[in-house]
Amino acid sequence: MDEVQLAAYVARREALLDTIREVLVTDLRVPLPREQIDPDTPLFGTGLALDSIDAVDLIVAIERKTGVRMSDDAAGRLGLRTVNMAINYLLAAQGETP
Amino acid sequence: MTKPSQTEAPTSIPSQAEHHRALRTGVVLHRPNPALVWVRGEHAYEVVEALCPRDLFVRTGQLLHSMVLDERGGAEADLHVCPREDDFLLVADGLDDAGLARRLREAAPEGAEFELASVGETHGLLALAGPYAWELIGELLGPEMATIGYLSCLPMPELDLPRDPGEAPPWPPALCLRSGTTGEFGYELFVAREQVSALESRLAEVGARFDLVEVEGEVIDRAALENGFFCPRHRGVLGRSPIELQLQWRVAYDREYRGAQALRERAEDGEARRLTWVIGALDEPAPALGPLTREGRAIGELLDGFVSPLLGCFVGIAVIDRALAHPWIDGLFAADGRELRTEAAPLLQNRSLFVDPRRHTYAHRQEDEFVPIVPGGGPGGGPGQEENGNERA
Repeated sequence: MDEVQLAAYVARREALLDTIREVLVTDLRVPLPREQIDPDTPLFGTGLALDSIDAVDLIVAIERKTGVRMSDDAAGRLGLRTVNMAINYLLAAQGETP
Repeated sequence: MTKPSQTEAPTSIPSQAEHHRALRTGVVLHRPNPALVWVRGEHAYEVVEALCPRDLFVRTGQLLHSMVLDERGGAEADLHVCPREDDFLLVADGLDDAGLARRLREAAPEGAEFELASVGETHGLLALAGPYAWELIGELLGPEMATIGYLSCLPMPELDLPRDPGEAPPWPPALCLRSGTTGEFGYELFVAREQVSALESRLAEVGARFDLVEVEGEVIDRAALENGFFCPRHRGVLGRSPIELQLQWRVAYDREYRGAQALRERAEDGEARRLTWVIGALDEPAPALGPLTREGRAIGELLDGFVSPLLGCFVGIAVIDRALAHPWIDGLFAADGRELRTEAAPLLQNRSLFVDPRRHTYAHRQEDEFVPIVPGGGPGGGPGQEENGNERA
């Protein structure tokens, strides 16, 4: 990845990070300011402590904002462990891989 | 039950890699040694609130996961707050009882009436972790305990000290804390030291059916690193702010507590770097800790890490310039020239996510199909390899 590609890649990640923070604060009413939701914050159990009902709302809201459908299988489940894992999932759905 | 020993020859004890694998595929016993302090009295809530940087929204039966900060707003210990009616048990990994008690006294509001009991002297923790830990706990304490939710805390009267009929219940009570920092099912059993040998015997009896092994704390700490959990024994993390460590969910900025003002100042100034997970190439040894560069420019510092027996590569934590602190960025070089790539934690697809107490058992684990533990089913992740050693896919 050269510097131009890197800058574009980081910009895509930052944009998705903003989108997911927006979903968490606005749609799921997570009681934290956006900037306090770090990229590697766990979403379920510990961290933001979302529950199974939140999971449905999160999937629907992410799909609405990004157009990417999060599957109801193991990949989708793993894609919701942290904010960064969700971004990885969305990037992979758009053809981006490590 | 196999116990580790410092005196046995290294070839006669199971390797740490085997213990790591047992943690990820079965169930292991370990003995955490955190500070254990019980807070009682009219102002117990206010005293705990003055130390805990997170809003104290927690009730009996639950655990609150937070941290202890130093005066400069840096990480000092991992903290679980366990309320019991009007009292609180505090479990602080990274401090001893005296250190935690001192911080509580220093943080307490003026005139607060409270008592501190260093219960670490009279009580200890035995802990179980692994994708089948729930099943062992169910056999040990009853099926209702197998399915208690993460961050719960329930009394275990059957593990209390014996008492005569009519005698008051013992204090503190034996407790089961459903916690853990490995990404697997985790239970910590808080029992009086007089009860430990009876519990050990029972664990040996029940544990035999689960091939239960006792593992060193280092195995647990390394698993925590793989799974993105804060651990005070990871090199280079103490003193760093929750902002750098990506632990801001554990703090509130609008309250007063130990280190709060310093933390607000650090937030205002902005932290230049952020904790990020990194991995090395397959089969490469661990790189040198210290400076990290990219394109010849200093971009961060590799703090800690190890070669994961399951992943087959180095996994580590680094603080990296925020502009580059994102997963999937390659071309990072350690001081010895070894190349690393950033990743998102957890680095594993923990089996505990997929083991279902209604359908699975340890005895039939070989017949069950699971998502590979290693993403993509790489080294150590395929069926059979987890149990059989370091064979490559």
